[in-house]
Amino acid sequence: MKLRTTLSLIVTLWVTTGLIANDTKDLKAGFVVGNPEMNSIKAIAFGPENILFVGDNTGRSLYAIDVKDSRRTTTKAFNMAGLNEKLAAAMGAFKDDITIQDMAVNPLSKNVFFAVSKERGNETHYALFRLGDDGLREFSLEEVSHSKMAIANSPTTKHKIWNRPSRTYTVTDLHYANGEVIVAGLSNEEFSSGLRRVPFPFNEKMVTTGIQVYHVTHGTNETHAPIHRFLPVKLENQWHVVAGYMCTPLVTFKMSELNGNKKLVGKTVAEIGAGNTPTGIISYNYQGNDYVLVGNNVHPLTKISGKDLFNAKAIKAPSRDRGVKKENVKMGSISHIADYDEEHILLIIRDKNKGTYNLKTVAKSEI
Amino acid sequence: MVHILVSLISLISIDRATVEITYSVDSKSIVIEGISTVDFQKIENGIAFYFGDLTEVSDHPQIIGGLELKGHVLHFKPKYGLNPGSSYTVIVSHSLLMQSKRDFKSVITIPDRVIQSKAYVQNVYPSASELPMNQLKLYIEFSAPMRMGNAYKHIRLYKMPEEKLEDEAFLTMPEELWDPERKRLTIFFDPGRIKRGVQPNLQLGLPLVQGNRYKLVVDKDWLDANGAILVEGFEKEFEVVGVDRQSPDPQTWDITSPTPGTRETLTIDFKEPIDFGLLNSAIVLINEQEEVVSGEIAITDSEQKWNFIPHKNWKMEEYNLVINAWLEDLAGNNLKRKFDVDLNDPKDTPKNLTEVIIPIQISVQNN
Repeated sequence: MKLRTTLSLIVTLWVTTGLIANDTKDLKAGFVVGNPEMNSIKAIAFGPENILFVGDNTGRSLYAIDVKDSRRTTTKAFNMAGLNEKLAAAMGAFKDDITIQDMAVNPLSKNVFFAVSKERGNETHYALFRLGDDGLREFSLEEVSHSKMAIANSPTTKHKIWNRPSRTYTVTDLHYANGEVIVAGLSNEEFSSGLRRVPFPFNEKMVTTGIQVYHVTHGTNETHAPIHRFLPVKLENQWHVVAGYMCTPLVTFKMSELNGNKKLVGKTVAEIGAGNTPTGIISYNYQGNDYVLVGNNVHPLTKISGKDLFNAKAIKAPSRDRGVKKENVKMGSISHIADYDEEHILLIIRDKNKGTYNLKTVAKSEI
Repeated sequence: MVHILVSLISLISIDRATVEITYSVDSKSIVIEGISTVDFQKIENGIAFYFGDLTEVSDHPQIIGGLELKGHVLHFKPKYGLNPGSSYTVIVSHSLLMQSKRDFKSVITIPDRVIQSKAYVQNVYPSASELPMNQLKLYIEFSAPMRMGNAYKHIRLYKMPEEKLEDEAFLTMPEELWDPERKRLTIFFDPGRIKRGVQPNLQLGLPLVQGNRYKLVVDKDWLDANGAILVEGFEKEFEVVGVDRQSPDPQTWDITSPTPGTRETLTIDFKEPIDFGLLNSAIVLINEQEEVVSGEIAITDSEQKWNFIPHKNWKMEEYNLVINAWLEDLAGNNLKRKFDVDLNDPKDTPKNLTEVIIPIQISVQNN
């Protein structure tokens, strides 16, 4: 996706995360070469300069890995029926033994990365795979340039006595934006787990900032609610976050409000409906218009115009239209979604009957 | 993808008549015996390993792993484990074989281990037989570590006595919230149905209805970390009472006064059930030096009482209980704020606190 500067005065500008490198810093300063020895690989997201961020839940850490990709030389679309079967075969496993944890597209190379876990017997393994011109291959972590940062388990309190062994913080989504990695996660105990902000390049002296996020319904009921999926987007030189709470649908807030001292209340702009979990959020510009797409495991893809989304007023009362205008795009049950290039998005679609997960490239013109 | 672990040695020679393909469970390897002199690189290119008993391997991914030659024995170690109960197809190219123009295919099957079931559901929390309509979460505690990935398939809620499946009661999300030992799973009732005014709440109402009786069922065929099913399934019935929209109030708690020179139990009686997970992690006792006092914690009386037995005798000094404000009752109301604050009700205004400090009276006996 290019920055359409010529259109900036008349068209809302929209840039997805990770595409603006910070020119003044050496982002890979402090990287070391070796095996990062990650305990788990849960969420992955690309930043600038071939840097892949990985959320390690059981190791309670974030990693930045230089994947040293080369740009694809072909434009063949990625489509793969039975992606989970192929990943399972490569890991020496039945398809039910593996889980595709996450998918990320490297904006520089256009290669696609998959985080995969395998459970069999008493062993759990995690692997990264890369889909490129040479097909689907393991991305070996044995000798990679990387850096690491611990994720704080607990919000800062007066007494440093709260790191109890039973408490966990499960990363559910992460993104790089504006010089930092933002992590959403869920606690296995208290409901109100916050976002974490981690400065990048990682520096062990820096602390993770916990952001307490709230959700208000119709100006009436407020909950200290965790965010499950989110996406940072830049609009007219200001970073925003589009997010899905665990308790309810789509909200937006300004990134500038994202600091540790301020209570952050998202603006509810849309409700997707009951019995559904958003599985991913992407944004893109297509033919001069900005869009946000939400992948859902039960409901169709939700498509919202960027202009509508950011001009939307918070939903003040329960209503039939449930907020901002949106379109439903039927593509099946989406387990993962990624923006691919100017013309395409990538979906992993679950075939419930066959138990397969299929990778599909979809033209933005068809959405 | 296969790593070369030995240097090149002269020419190749595998005699099909004598080659023997076996496996070693101990070294988690497939073993090929009967190799005489070998050009390792040719071996690497000429032998392929596939998961499953395959008739056709054309576009099937090979198993990722490492080859090692020890004397005349070749070992292939799948990187992500050798699975008992699975078959492996080994194809030796004719280019490696003496006196043969056809590839040699061999399928080996590794017998399944006899795995003794030993895991069972030890407890489900809350252990009370009455739960509020806005019950927020459940903890399922197992006697042994469990396999991740299929939890939501094995947990069901039925409305009794007609055994009507309540299939939208729980939030099923891609993540599963386990403790680090993977013995305790946290399940959320759909927070979107609990939070007032959001669409799931308006469409479906609260997951639990006052006056109804429900049965929680945990399937026996849930696999533990060793791949064995549970010793037995689990059922728990409970009644539903009214909503709880009150924060726990430390002022109403009864706290005992231990006698110095003894190891008497210090008990907090909350007068209502408190969230089991947080009872174990959100309350600590500190001494005058603000050090955490070590001892054993026991949660009793359907999570209404927190009992602490110090490892050492009580002294005549100042002790303080530190209660983290994120301590929640069954409905997610914590010490600071209710789960679902009514912004138009001044009584609902959240308190500005992170911890509650409660001094402990050390009672001097009157002899």
